[in-house]
Amino acid sequence: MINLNELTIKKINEAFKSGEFTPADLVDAYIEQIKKENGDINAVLEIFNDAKEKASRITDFSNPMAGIPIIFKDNILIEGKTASASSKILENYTSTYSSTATTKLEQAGAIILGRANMDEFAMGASTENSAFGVTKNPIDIERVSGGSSGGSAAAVASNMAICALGSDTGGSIRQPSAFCGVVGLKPTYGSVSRYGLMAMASSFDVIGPITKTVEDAEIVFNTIKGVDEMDQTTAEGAGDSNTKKIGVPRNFLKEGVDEDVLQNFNDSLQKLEEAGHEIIDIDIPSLEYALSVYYILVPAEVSSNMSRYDGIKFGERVEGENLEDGYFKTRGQLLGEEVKRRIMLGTYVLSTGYSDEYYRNAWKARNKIKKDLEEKFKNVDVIALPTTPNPANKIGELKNDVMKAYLSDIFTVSANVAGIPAISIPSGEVDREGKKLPLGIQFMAPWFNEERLFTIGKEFEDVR
Amino acid sequence: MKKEEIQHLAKLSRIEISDDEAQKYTEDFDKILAYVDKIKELNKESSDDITIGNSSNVNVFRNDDDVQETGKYTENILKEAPDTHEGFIKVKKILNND
Repeated sequence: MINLNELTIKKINEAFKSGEFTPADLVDAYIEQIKKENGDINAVLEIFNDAKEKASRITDFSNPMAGIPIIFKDNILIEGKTASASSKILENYTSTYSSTATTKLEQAGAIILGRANMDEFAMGASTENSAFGVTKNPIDIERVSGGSSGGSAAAVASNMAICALGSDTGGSIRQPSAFCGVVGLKPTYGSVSRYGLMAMASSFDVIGPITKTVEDAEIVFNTIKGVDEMDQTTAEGAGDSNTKKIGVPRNFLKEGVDEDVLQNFNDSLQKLEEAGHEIIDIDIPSLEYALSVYYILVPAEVSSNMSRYDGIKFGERVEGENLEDGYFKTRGQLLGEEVKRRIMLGTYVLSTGYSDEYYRNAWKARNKIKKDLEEKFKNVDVIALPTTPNPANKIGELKNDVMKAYLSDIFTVSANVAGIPAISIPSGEVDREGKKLPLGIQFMAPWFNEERLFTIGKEFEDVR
Repeated sequence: MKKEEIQHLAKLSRIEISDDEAQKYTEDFDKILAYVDKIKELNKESSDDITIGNSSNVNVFRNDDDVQETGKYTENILKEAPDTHEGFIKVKKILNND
């Protein structure tokens, strides 16, 4: 009997090497766990039936990812497998090629167990926008798992896989990780190839790992990163492991933050200070505008990227009277409410008369935020914020308040706007109606300095 | 924002929406635009950098060698289209006869 709750990637690798159990045994154990737990949680949309056979062929364990079971968010392509982005329009779509992340993981020997539920086309922060039902939070099934990578985070939290891939456009890896009590890394923009990741907002999107420990996030990240000729925005950069000085943008925390979240954040900082870190108050006024930048530029890019779903080239179609009528019916009936909202909002901010006012102004503000952060990182090594302003919401709680739902990304979007890496690490719990809901602390570092995040993350795991 | 404006945006976006949907989106757009409007304050005092793009890479080229064999993906790609005819993707007629 394998105790899934105590595993890490390194421990699994040791067990494989010593013969304690085999990759095929482990696949069996995780599939059994998915079958047991998924009915209540709805994290996994499909288990791949070739996983065990693939696992039984792994005999060389020199790569730490060899034989490691992983679950993919439903928007990352695996040749020959369904990838639906949790949308009706792609319900029966089979990937015609594999993403670079898929190829790299398969080359390392990782076993892809199945695909995880998400907000439709990664638009949302609760998985309530999935066409295939909400993913419930494993800690309290009356609450959301977060999103958009909610299925991936809930799967790792409930031991359905040791690790998962998500994608992060404005917090979609970190926010569900915080809500489910696991680690989520949003890498530097361009450090992981987007080839084979369904495009949502191409200047923001990045693939990253969801794991139980910082060390595991590091192992998965090191496997999937790198320059790729199939994605011309990929790059590499120099980094270091300096983490002494932690900057805290206090002014940003003045309103809209749950009291218990703030208390937990301050306690976490105190522990880091006692461990020898210097906590420095910093002020970055432009951060207050990051969410506005996000909700102008992301819909703009969404409206362009989503134009490919026309019911002609691939995906489902609703027949119309003529070509154009077919577009209207297909998109009107098969895309969800939030996806349609963002396409239309993007169309609005890009339309004549408004594009200067919104789109161009948002890019100016984005460049200002990047410059301000670059300046601040001359004085501090990392910046800390709570990952979310509150613990997981009840299912349906934000259904009719679109702006309140958007505000749950307030602390995470800055990293995507600037393109810098950020990590969410479990920082404790808060009592709500008899349930202990997880909270997360977020660290951000300069471009290509993931190493700083792994360093401070491991230190924090030791002192929390 | 008026309901007619939402219907116009839906038309530009090639999305059929009902009157009820348009009404709901009207309220949402008002809330969202009221929030993102604050972007205008920031730029009064700062930043004239109008660069568009989030990557420092410029003009990335690769050699056009290692070309895949013709037709390697054709069958699989066509399989994903809702309607095909003898190796082509089929669409409804675009021009009306009248």
